[in-house]
Amino acid sequence: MAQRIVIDPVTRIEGHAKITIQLDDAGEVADAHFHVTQVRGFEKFVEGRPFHEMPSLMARICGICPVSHLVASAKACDELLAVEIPETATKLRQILNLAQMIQSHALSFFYLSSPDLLLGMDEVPEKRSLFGVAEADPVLARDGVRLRQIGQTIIELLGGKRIHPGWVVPGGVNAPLSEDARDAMLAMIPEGLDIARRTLEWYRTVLPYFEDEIATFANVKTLFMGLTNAENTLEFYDGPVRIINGTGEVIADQLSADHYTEFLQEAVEPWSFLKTPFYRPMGYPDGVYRVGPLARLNIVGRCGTPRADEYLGLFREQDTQSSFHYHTARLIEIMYGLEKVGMLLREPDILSKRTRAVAEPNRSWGVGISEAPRGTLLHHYEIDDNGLITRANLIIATGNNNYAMDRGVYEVAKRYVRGGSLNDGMLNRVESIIRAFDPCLSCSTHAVGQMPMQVELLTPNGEVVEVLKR
Amino acid sequence: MILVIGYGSTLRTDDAIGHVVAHALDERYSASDVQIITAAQLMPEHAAPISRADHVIFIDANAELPVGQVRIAPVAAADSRAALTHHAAPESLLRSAGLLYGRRPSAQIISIGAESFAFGLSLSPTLRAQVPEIVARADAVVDAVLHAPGGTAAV
Repeated sequence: MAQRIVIDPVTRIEGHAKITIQLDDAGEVADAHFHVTQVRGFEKFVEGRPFHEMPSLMARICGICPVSHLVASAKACDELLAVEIPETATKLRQILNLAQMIQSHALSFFYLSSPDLLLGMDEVPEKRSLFGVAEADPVLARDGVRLRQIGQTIIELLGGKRIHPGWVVPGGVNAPLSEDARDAMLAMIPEGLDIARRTLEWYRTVLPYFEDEIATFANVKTLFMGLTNAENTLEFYDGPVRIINGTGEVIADQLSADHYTEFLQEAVEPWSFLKTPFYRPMGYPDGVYRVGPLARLNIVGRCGTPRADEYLGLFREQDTQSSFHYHTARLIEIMYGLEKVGMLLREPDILSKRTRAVAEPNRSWGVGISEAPRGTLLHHYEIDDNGLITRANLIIATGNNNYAMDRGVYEVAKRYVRGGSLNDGMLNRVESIIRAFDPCLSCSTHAVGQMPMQVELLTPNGEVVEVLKR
Repeated sequence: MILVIGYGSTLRTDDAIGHVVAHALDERYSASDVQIITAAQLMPEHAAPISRADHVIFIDANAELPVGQVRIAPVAAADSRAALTHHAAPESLLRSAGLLYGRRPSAQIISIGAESFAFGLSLSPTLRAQVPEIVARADAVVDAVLHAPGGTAAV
């Protein structure tokens, strides 16, 4: 009899999701899906709110990456004002956005994924945690805590608090940077760079143990999408969109976010609340793409900072299609982020008092685009004559990777789940492919890790034939 | 040095009681004797300051105690594999302080019965009326630790 395996909830990710694995009569994997089981409704309930509230409201989408929503939202509002914000404000927003990336990547790599990478996918679940890492390699665990702290401290020094800072506003930022805060941030950069280098060197020694996972973790040919700039280097704050195919060929470039509906479309699948965006000219599913660290490193010519470029060269010596390499890409981006923050803080005008353009609304719609830690993030607002929101559309970074995550689950299930029986190592690999993308599904509504892992074997009629619990 | 960590959401009415009590204690002691941290939630990063303290007092709202009731209990380091991700429990923070930084102080938790966790920037009237008494209890705990014979011991 055909059976269905359900992994619910998926652990060590941000939010709630479940995985179902459909077995055929022979007990082999027939299909598998990744389901996002929560719905938020932010696009709807902001209707009628004054546009200037949007950055603060949208930051509440997420407790992990509120800064990303702040930045994209404020940029959409800048367009509503039809102003060019002061250069210093742009640089300060860039620093904030990079600090967010650093702390979020550190959380993903060290807190959520390093237990698998250090201890192995087959280690018992009781050991496979940051505690297990702390026991086996205290330096690695301590480095992770410190690196995240550096990112969060920069956010706090700029925005006044670590979570939901209200410093980014339409037209710029609401306070200039003080000399003391700049010096405090600069003082942390060398330590952060040492940690990033130490971790990259360690990770290079570990990678050979994961050849099988590298081959099967969503090692699919999809398009890649991300922001670019005139220097063809990593770009997190602004710039046109570039899309490349699986062989590295640029298929679309210099795309303006203002016209995103001409090149992006969202598909809806019945098994998930998460929509699946795709490159419109190629249709669905041929036009599906990946975003985030792996996509960003694949679409640019170089990182643009010396240490990160050194590791980018090493990164490109391997096949960069496998989603397992999101981990490496994340570490390289941490290195880049620290270097770039240092460069921006040394800009001569970084302490300028001119940080905000004040204006009334001058346009009826605006689109803000930026790179969140997990990928390209887009906010689109429309307002009435009174400045009240009449429509909001968000394309969230994690959603862009929906198709790749779903197919990744199928590939991994096909490779590791056999004969209708399960063990923790198999389950962890199925979960681990999701973790590689570092999806942020909850946007802060629920804590991760508090619910037990439960796997149910179900008949097509829903009858539970076996339950496994962690 | 005693480290006081008051935590909870300041946007959820009585969940902010840990902040309220911590700030009140901050006004009563010098920074060399008592250091104060307030946070929306405990995080792994708190393990570092915890490892530097001689004694830690966590202060948190409690949904199960009668409103305003104060419960003071010791905290023992414990392994909670699910709890050390982007937030953490007092027990796991103590353990990680020992694992990561080689020093694990003694600790207590002051749990305070809360009436409401609804959205709101101020405490419920019932709990607000009891704040002076709650602060006095917390103050007594700090004072007792400060003046304990032989002080406190980290392991």
